[in-house]
Amino acid sequence: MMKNAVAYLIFSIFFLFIESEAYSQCCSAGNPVSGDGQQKSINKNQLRIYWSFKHSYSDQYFFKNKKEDIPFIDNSRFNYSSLQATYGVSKKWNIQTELGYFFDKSQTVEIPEKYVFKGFGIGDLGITTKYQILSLIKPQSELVGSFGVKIPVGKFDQDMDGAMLPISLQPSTGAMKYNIGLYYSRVNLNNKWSFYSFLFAEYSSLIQSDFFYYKYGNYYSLALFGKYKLTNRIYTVLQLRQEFRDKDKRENDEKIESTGSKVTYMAPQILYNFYESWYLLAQADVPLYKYVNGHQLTNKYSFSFGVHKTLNLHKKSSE
Amino acid sequence: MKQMNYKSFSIACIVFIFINSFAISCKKEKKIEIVEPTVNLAIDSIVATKTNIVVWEKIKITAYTKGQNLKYLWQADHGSMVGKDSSTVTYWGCYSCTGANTVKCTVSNDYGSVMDTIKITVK
Repeated sequence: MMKNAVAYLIFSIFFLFIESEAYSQCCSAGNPVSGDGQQKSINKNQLRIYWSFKHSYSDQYFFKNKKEDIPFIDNSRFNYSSLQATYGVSKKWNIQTELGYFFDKSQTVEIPEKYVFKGFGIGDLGITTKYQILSLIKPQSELVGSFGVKIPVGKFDQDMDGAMLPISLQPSTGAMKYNIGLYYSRVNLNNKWSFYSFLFAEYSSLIQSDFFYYKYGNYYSLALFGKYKLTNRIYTVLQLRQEFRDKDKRENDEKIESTGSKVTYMAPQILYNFYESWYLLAQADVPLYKYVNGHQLTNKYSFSFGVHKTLNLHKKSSE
Repeated sequence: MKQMNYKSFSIACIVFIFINSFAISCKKEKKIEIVEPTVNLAIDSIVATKTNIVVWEKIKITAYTKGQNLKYLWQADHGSMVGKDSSTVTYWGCYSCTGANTVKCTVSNDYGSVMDTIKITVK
């Protein structure tokens, strides 16, 4: 058993630090996906605070599923940090809010001299409510449904040197987004393993602008993952996730060819529990299968890390 | 025992209100009031070196103006621009910018702001 655990840990660490070519529209406007992905509900009067940081770097264009050389763009990157708070309003009902800040959302181009577009600032405000639809003691499992909105509170009209930054470098999406999710978890299987899965869909409304018409494509995600307890304090998580992103639309509802993608990710994660209910975590996203519509800039590598703590506001702090 | 825990509820509310208020207070929209062109402030024309281009092709777009102490703000509904605070910008479109795109120039000084647009088609 211990041998398997060590092999699993090595496997996870290996994938955590290799370069990932995470597909999607690189530096697309709006918040990167955050959270530890497990979405387990918390109890009444508990407050979970989660802080995270994500770095992403991209420098390669792809046509469908093949690399292509575009010397014009040197690279694109972002550094994003977010704070998420989840509160247990009742045993079944949680409410969550999240806000993040782009320290640097930039792109270096050659025109022919090098020029750096740089956006920064507050992203979108996320507010989500979750309801525990089903909870079983044996086997210990739960089914949670969610509904959320993302409000474009950040700047969407940031300019630089007298020219407005492109949409993809604005810190906010400029559009209201609505999402629904369904999360299933089955924990403490053999005291070592837990399993999770989720279905998630996000609809974007039209960008709120008098000047132009733009609508982001809908986003769908399906994930399955296992969590393995290596020691009393260390857990590893391996997630398989399928993402679909529809094409964006412009005037007259015309679909934009070089937008939208289908990607299968493997996302390894390590969690370290320290000092009662504090958790440190690190994660990477590694694409296993990827297909982009038309030509798109894709990520070369990305990683994130964070820390979360659950406070029991009624009694002594506990997870 | 079902008893309202005011302390815990208050702490949770403070955290939520702090995050949400901070977010909402950060939203600032630029409101530019457009005035009628005069000899003190006007855009005579906007001229591009080409109005039909291919993806990644770079062109220069220039605003010919009247007035003093002018500030320029260039916007494109699709595509990228480098302005360097001047009457001329370099414009190009990537693969997701194909189509008939609008480039808008807003010029401002103490007399107000005026604007004009030009269409650039990226294929």
